[in-house]
Amino acid sequence: MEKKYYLGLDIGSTSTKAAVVDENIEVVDSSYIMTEGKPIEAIMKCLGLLKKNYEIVQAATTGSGRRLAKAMINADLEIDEITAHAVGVTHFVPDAKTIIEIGGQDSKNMILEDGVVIKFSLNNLCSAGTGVFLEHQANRLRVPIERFGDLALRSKAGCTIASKCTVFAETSMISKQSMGYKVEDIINGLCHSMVRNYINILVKNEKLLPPVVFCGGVSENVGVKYAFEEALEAKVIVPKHNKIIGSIGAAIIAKEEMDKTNQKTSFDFNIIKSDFKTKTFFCSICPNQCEISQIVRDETTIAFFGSRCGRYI
Amino acid sequence: MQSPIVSFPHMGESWIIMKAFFETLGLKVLVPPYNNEKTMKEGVINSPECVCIPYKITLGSMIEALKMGANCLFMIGGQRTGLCRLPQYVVNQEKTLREMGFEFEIYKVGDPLMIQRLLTKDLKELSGNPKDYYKKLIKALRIVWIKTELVDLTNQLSRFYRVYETNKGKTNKVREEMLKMVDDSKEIKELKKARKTIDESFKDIDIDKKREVVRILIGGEFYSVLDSFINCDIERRLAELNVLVENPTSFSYLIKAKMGLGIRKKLVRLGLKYVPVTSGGEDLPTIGRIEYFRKKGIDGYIILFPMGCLPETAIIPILDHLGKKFDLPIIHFSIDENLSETYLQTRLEAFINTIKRRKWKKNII
Amino acid sequence: MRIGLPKILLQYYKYGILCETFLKELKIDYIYSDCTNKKIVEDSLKVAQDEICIPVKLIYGHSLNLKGKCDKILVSRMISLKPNTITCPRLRILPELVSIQTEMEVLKLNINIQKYPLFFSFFTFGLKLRKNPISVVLAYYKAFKKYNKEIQELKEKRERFLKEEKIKIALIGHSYLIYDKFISLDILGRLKDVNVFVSEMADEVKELPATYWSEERELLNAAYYFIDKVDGILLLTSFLCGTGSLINEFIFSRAKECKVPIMQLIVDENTTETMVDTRIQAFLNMIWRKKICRVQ
Repeated sequence: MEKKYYLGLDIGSTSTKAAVVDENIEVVDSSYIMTEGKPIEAIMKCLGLLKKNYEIVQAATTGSGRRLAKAMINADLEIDEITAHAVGVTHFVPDAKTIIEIGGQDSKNMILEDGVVIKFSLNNLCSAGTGVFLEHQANRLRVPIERFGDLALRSKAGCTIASKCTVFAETSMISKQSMGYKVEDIINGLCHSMVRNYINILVKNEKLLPPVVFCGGVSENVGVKYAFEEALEAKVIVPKHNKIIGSIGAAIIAKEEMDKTNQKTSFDFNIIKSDFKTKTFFCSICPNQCEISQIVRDETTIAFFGSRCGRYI
Repeated sequence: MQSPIVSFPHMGESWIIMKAFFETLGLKVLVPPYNNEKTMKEGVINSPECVCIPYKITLGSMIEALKMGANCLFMIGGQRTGLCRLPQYVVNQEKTLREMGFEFEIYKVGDPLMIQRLLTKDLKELSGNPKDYYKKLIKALRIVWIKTELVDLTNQLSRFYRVYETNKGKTNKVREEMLKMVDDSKEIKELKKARKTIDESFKDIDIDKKREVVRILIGGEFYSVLDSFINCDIERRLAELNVLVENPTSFSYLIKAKMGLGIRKKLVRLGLKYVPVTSGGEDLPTIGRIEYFRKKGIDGYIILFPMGCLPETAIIPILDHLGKKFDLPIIHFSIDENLSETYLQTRLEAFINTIKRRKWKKNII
Repeated sequence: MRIGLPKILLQYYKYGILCETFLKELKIDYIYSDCTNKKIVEDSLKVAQDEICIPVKLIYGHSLNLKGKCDKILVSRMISLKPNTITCPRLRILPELVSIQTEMEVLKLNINIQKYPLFFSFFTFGLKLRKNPISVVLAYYKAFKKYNKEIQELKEKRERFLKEEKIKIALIGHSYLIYDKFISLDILGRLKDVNVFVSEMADEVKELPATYWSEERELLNAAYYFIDKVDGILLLTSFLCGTGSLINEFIFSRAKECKVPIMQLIVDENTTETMVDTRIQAFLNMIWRKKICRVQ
């Protein structure tokens, strides 16, 4: 019998990820690329990087670009990234009570009880407490972001970086440099600063209980992981597949949907061969003057985005 | 309950007056540290985000008092204490403090009925039902009245001497000494002597009467105007820019207003010329002051209020309108925990300089 | 004479049907402002002071939208909407603010229920327009009947919704936020697959924490009334809502106490669809998954 697979696609502002799981929810394949401001190309590339054209029976999309992706690849459903991450994490850590997810341009916090989310908060407004904060500083220090973690671990002296705003943190960092602080101390200070920002913006007075799971692009950074362990006084788990857990969650949800409805999927890998174009125009029907994006696949319009009134679908 | 240790949140020099009142009644008083960064931090963390700064800082003050061992708090509250958010403060603050685990009694100082109950029943019980309670109460009220006048007098004289002094910093020193003396004086006889000392000490300060000064009126929400911590000590900053500050919002102004006396009634009447009904707080006096003090000759008007202050933000368009109508430079500052000294200083300097240049140009023409 | 009716705050979203029917019965010509749109918001921001909530800022944009289209504009002065309560202080001097900032002629409707009944407000207002007191009284009677009917219909809807199996959400927020499609980012549209209970549907709850503000009392009442009847509470607040900042704390406490999921959406002129969309989806999914889990 032909093996059945489920596809999860997570289109974020910084990176795009795909995951393929089988009937036993084993991750058989995955891919990860940088979105670089071109979600349509990223989706095509991401799917193209998979090892083969699996027999996908149900596909789901998540992430900020989920609506676009669903229209493009004829996915069966779209799911918000909070639910997707929670489902993904609880598959690997069933008794997780706290999920910290920090991506390139947003950060999330989920509190769970008995494997279900009971409270969540999301920050996609302020760069403080997101991956771009560290990246920006890494650029300034001319240290590759991949080395951040190891350097932070070598730090022996404390160094406080004033944190509220990414731009002002830079000023603080410059002054610390001129005072003679070593690079590893500054980097460690930045990791702590990021954790402080995360807590101030997302957690506030809420109690975060272990097991604490840390995922998302920034979870690769051990310096931040240890800074969290210090701040929360608890061990922090960075699971396998930490960077793509959202797409795994989406794939699991695709399977749940299949088990429920048994409806044939509309997704087909051949879609990658299609030609996609975007046109934009200003609608002049009402004073709102919305900027509408029109997605065209092989000469057929498949979706519109950007209208406030829902006139265009 | 165990022996009461009374405390209250800070507002400028109000602690001197409150302390005297409770001590004269024979109660043990704990004065928390005067408003500082730590107070602010405590208050901000435990308050909702969009609430005004007096809520946050009085909460911080009460937290500090409770941490230091106070178990009996007094705070303004109750339905008829105003139309802004102030009556609601104490309800939320009490809830927060109890959720934090503190155990305490809290007394709301509110409308006349509540005050009467406080004076005739609650305080009597707290101080142990002494036989001479009413004698002590009358003395306490007299001392409150006198100390209020002395604190206001000290502040009023400071404003004058600060800007004209030849020896920089002398007035501030004298002011600190006089306030301490007022606090240390416990008996009415001592206070009578204190008054003389205050007059004489300030008269001793050398001044340059010929110094050119700019006369600026300060008004707005009363906590922002009275508390030098949250307004970044604006009066001292202005004095350094050769500004003679007129600040009629004093403690006696507030107490008299509560009793229906004093200048507030007139200011309200003047305010009602432009706005038919009050939005609460000090909004009508803030408007009324423009006409009242214009006649007395002021060069500019600085209005202070907490960020989001409901009454004051409602009248901003009217203030701008009147500023243009009467050709009076007006500037307003909204205060929250993020107000930085540099922000304030730069704008004060710019405001005062524009006024100075205006005056200079007018004099030439 | 033609009266301009700006679609703002309580005069439209709460008393709208009352005002409109009243004017219709008195055979007075009226015109509504456009629904809130980008231009109205932009015009409002140019004129309004910074530190007030977006619904109050919109009074200027809506008034300017009516400039040139009517002789006078109706602006209400709401001082009290229930006995022993007062309204948010920002609503008390609106006629003067509109008059100064837009230089339009303003017709005032004063509502102060702690001092005099609603009938009296409309009676005095009606006499400014028509000399015959009897026609004014009749017009009010008909208008009030219609207004009451609407409230009754909402309560009937509530009973229907309570019986249905769908997910039930109490949407707690000022009516002038919830029903304004632009500012609320069409929140009711986003919740079309669930049963939404708004504050007008609630019956009176006896024991409430102290609060002196008319509208906040209604919201608090709704939160307390629906707490054991819904699957979740969605709190829609304006950024810098003065009264809301204090009263919402009680709603959060109550939800925590009763273990009901609650999410607050804070909106202002800068809120975008993406901010609102993900949060609502996640909230509904969270509730739905919790329900399934409980069943299993």
